[in-house]
Amino acid sequence: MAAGRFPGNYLITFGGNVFNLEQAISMWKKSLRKNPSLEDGYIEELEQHLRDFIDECLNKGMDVEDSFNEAVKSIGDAKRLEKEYFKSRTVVPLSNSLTGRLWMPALFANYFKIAVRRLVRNKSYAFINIIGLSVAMAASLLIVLFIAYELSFDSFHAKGDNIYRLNEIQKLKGQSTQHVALSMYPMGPTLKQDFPEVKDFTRVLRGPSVVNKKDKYFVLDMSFHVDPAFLQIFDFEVVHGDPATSLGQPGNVILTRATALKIFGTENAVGKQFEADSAVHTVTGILENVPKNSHLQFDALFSVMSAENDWMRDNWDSNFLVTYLLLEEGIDIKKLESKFPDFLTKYIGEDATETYTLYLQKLSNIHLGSMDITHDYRNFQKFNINSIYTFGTLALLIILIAGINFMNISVAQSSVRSKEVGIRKTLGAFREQIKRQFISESLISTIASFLISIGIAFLVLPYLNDVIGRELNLSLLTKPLFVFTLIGVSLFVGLLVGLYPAFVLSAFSPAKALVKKIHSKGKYFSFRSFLVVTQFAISIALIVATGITIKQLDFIRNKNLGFETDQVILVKMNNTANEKYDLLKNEMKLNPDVIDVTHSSQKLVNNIHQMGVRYEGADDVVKLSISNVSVDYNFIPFYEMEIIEGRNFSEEIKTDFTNAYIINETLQNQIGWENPVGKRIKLAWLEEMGKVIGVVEDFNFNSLHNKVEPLLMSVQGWGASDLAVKINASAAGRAISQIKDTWNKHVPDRPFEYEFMDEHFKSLYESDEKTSNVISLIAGLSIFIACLGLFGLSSIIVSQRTKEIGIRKVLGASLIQLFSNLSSDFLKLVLVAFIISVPVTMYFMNSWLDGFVYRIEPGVWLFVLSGLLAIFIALITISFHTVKASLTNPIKSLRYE
Amino acid sequence: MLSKNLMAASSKPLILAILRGGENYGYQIIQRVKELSGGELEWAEGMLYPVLHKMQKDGLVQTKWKLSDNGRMRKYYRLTTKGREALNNEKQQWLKVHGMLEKVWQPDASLGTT
Repeated sequence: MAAGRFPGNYLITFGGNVFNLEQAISMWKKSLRKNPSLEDGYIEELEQHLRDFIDECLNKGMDVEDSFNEAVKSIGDAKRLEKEYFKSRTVVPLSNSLTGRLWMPALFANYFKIAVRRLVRNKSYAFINIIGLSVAMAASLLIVLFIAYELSFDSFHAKGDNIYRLNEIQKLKGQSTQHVALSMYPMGPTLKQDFPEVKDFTRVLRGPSVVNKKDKYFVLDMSFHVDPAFLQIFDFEVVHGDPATSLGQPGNVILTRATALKIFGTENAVGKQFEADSAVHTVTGILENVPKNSHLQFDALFSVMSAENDWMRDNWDSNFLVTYLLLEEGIDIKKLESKFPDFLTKYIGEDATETYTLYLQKLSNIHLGSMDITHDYRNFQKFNINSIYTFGTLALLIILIAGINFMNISVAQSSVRSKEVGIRKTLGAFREQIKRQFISESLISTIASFLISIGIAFLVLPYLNDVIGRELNLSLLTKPLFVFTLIGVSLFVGLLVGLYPAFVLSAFSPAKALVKKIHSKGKYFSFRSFLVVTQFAISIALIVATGITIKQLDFIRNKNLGFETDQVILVKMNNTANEKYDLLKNEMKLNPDVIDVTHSSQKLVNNIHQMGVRYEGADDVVKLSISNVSVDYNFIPFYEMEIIEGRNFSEEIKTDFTNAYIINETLQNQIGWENPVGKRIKLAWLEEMGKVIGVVEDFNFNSLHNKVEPLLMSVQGWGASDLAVKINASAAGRAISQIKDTWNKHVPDRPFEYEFMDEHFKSLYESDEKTSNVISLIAGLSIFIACLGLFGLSSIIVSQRTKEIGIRKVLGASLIQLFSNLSSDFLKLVLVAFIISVPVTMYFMNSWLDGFVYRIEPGVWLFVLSGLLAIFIALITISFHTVKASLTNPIKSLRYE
Repeated sequence: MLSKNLMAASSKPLILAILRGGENYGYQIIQRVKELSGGELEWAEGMLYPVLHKMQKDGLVQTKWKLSDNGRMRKYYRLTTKGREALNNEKQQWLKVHGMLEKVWQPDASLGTT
């Protein structure tokens, strides 16, 4: 063991027996660096001198260690060097006037220099502060980008402020009240004709999903039939053609660029033709591809006249389309809506208002304000406005957590800074100036963090887009207003977090600060404790929230819906597929990997359309309007639904076609039938009364946000929308490719398209899932940042108690005793945080869970577990320093300082 | 052996004079001073640097970091015009002191009256 005594009384011991020159030099430099008068450049120069000296000694034949010691000796004592350097730098102030002292621009250079030097010399604390803050800022920046993106939905329509969607509140008999984004075919034109407030209207009906050029078939993901005014109301960018006339004739169609390219291989396809729904359509215009932040997503617009027929024209009975109205500027919406009941009475009849209420939904509210609206099929990525508020709150909270780190670490380091403050004050600094200094330090850190955060956001963005299914980008950063706001907010944060340390540190009395070190003690109710408690309360709340959302979504995913969705694929059907259904079914079933095939007029896990139903009550025929689906004979066994009374449909029994009905439990209970089998019921428009042949156990055919509604099933000849094939799980790939072959052989005019039913099911909870993902991400980050802070804080506090630890140890304290002594203060804070956060979290999470009809009841254990997790993480974090301190040889801790 | 005070007072003209021969770095300057003093140097070598810095601050020397042949960075010091003037000034003063002392120390002049 070689030991050398260096100038400045720094005892340096080298590990191992071999003298390591580089190590010795670097330790020597480190000992110099502790000296505030020695700047890095000076030390660098001295080092070169040292090396030259050593080289010369080595040339003379001295050994390395002696050369080093000789060189150190000859350079001289650090304390004297320091004095000389200090002398050579001292400035005698020329002016001593009051204003001169308060406004000294030269001092700012000094503040900056000191701040940067402190950051460089206290790398670990600077790291904690800046990384914590920049991670938090990056997270907030991303959240802001997300919120800005969500708010940008449909904002590109110039007349957006006057565009409204016509919605209905339906109080159908036999069905819970529902808000629907549907309306009737004649409503648009009639409203325009009756009300001067309505400037224009466009209806949006589902268009063909397959088009063909001779024998070549193309699938359209989404096409609409719209009124000619569509392009005057909405501002979708027209590339070719005239928006005013391009939809004026039956057979007119407008394509997006991508669709034109797909079908015709060219972007300008104006004048070209294709067939759809057994009619010829001529392309009259090309649109730019629809922006992703539009709630209406489509790849082709057909003229509404191509779809119109006599049945539709005067149909005041069915709601199967969306109507958008363009209103005159400055219309009082409430006043207009109040005229709607009379309108309904005039066209539908006396009791129309008992069933329908019409209302207007502003275009800008459609994307974020439609969570309570069902039958909302034209609402791309619809999202919950409450989640936007939640995200905004999270952005603030995470900045708060990082800001608290900053304040705590700055103040805890006061013992190191107190001398500096003392000297500055002695030399005539006003308190104001010292505050300025500390605030400029925090501003520098915040600005650095801000710049780093942009880098982080840039790197993380692609992954985030993957997780949340959006196309966020940093283009907002090119908008000066946005950038200035961000910088403004960053500076504000910097000012805020700098203010508290500035006040505390500038308050030191110079006499005290110079005589002894001042420790800002962590008292029970000190401001610092309050800040740590706040941090952990937020973190624990977020952990609990994450736990609850994950559990709830898991619960939904695994809830027994009352029917089996696993290994079922759904294939979209057209007329040909319906005509050849039996053939398809039989041929597919020949495949050993296909377990069964069925179909239905609407797919499950949707709100199923309500239709008129009549049943024989005790005295007369009662009218209802309830969900109704036409199915295949084997539908119930296929989905493994439970028949609790009566029997299933049978192909053997002739009357089971069109005249036999299976009802669900809810419908049975609603009507109040004790023995439903044999009771008489029918669809409103059928001549003959049919019979109930069975009751099926309730199953959740809609999202679990809703309760099970009454349902009527029967075998009708209407044609089905979806073919369902249950396949063998182990051979899914092979089965699907064979199903595809069979399909293509028999249904040449509809390309094969399928989806797994459980995926469709999952898509219902997309908004919930995304929210949950973001919450868990933020929870992870916040606990990380809070722990960074705790890590720094514990390091400072443990180092302040070094002597105490040494004394305790000498007096016989065991390792465990020391450890628990050091940890207990922190643990108490975490515990208080836990107690505070539980009721608050409970309240907010309960209101989120209330949005689900089927929800979990978060048990006490979830909170306890989250609390324990937070305590555990905190303990591990601080144990790094506490264990180290407990293990230190008391000789060292007593010699410390 | 020179006294501390005298060494401190003479360090400035000494360094200026050494630098008159061209730019140089700290270690070499020290070697030169050592040589001139015949190896009897009272002050620590590190003390040179604060003096150099003070001179730089007063505008007497300019500095530049350069890469030396053996791959080390060295800070070279070079006289400025102001430095040359200062050197002349110092020289005048020292010569004056020298002349005065020489005069008083003439054996006949000093001991004549005793």
